Amino acid sequence: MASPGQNYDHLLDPISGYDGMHDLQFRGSVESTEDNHRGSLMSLNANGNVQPGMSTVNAMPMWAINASDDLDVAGGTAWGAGAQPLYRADSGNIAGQTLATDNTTVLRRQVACFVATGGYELVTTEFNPSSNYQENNPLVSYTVVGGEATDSRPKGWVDVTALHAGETVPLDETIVGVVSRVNTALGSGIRKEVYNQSVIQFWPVYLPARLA
Amino acid sequence: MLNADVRSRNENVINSLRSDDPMISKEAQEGVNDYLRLRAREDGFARRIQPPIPVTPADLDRQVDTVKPVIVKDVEPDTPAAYGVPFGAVPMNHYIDAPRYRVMFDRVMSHRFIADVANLLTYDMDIRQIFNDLMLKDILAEEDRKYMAVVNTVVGPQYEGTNTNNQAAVNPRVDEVGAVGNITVGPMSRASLAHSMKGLPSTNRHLNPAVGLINNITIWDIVALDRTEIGGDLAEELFRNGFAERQVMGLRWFITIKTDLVPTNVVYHFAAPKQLGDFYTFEDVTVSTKHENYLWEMFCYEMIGATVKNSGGCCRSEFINPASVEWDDIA
Repeated sequence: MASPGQNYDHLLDPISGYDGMHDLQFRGSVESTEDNHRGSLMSLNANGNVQPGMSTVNAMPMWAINASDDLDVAGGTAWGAGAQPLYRADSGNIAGQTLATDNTTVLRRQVACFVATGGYELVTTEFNPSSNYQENNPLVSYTVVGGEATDSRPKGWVDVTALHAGETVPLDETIVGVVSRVNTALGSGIRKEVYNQSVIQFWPVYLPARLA
Repeated sequence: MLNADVRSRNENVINSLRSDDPMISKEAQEGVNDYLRLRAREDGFARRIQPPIPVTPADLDRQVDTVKPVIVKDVEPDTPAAYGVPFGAVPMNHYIDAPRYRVMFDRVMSHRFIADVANLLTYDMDIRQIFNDLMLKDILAEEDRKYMAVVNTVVGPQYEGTNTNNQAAVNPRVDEVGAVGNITVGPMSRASLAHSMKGLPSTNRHLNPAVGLINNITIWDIVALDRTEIGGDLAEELFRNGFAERQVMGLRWFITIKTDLVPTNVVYHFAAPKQLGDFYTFEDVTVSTKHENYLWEMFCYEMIGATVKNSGGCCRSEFINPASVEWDDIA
């Protein structure tokens, strides 16, 4: 039997700027074909749902407070053809679902997100661990389509990029954040959290791409 | 221009609202309260079908891989059938086991209502208390929406006799309980009403319905049943007084105004709560209010966990043509 993971394996920690009951949030249903961890970069897609990664190159970035498989998010959605519902441990729960305003469509898997335009400093586990992160490095995320190497990365990760001052088209991807702290001993923006998870720390920003 | 008395009363209301003393705050409810009602609202029917049970942290079960609160419950076990044997035969073994499931919790909340207290002063009605009541009903309405989202999943797609919704490949309920859960029974009559009652007994769990859920439009089709169908005394009583809460065909009938959740011509039947599922309130509806300088705000929230776990515990009948089909007409 596989050893179960820990709740903090994937995390989002708003270490500064979090205003409790009045912070800027967006709540939406996770696209039915997608899944996200806590701390994943999310964006709004053409279906009105949220999905991990950038749905379009200039989508507004957000960071997921909830994972799509959290019990209060996924609830008892495991129902359908196949195994009898009785023997599915979570079927029949009303948690994580409700009816949309048309009173027919069932809304499921709604997650809350911090929007990049808010004034936060965030810590996330959802980034490309192979990259080198330094202070003030801009961060990008991955779009669903495209031919770049980064497109094969898990959607919802952020990665580092470079700004080239003075170029005619300095931005070919949307900047979603700026690295805010580096571990000087390691010379890296990747540090270990208290339970040994690798994390990066950044300020969310929104600087839309300017395509050539 | 505002009447001086009214203004004085509203100042008292606002002062009461802004007080930290719960006794003084209570006085706000006794202020001016006359206003034009535009819409009927009601309490939730989910809580009547499955009466809530308050739980405490001691009732919660811990999980290793999540910090989310859950309650783990056991399900009545099933057993292989007994059998006749020749003399000298010994019994076959069957290992004792039983299913269990998780009741999950999530939060239901209202919007946060916010206003400048100066603006609140200009209302004649006790607007805090009114919003308080509306928020509570909005919370209960959301409970009903969540509940019916699951109920509609459990009963499955409607079988009309000509489509394939009686096939297990289309409708998992068919395979599990040996009957469809959502059929057309023809126009309202004594016979079609009785046919709708067969929905739960037709499953392999043989439950009896305990509650009928119907909207406040369809109920008039029952009132319209004449003396040849329901007897002279009852027909006269319904004609004179309408359908006050009463037992018909041995059921308690819950009449809802939520026609968006319980459509016209539709009746849902539910088994008794112990055979149906769960409804736990970890944190029942709580009103949070806050005033800071001249801004005042309030919202409601609750934390509940509920299930419709027994898919043989509810069914749906629609009183329309096409004509009645059988509950156990499964493919």
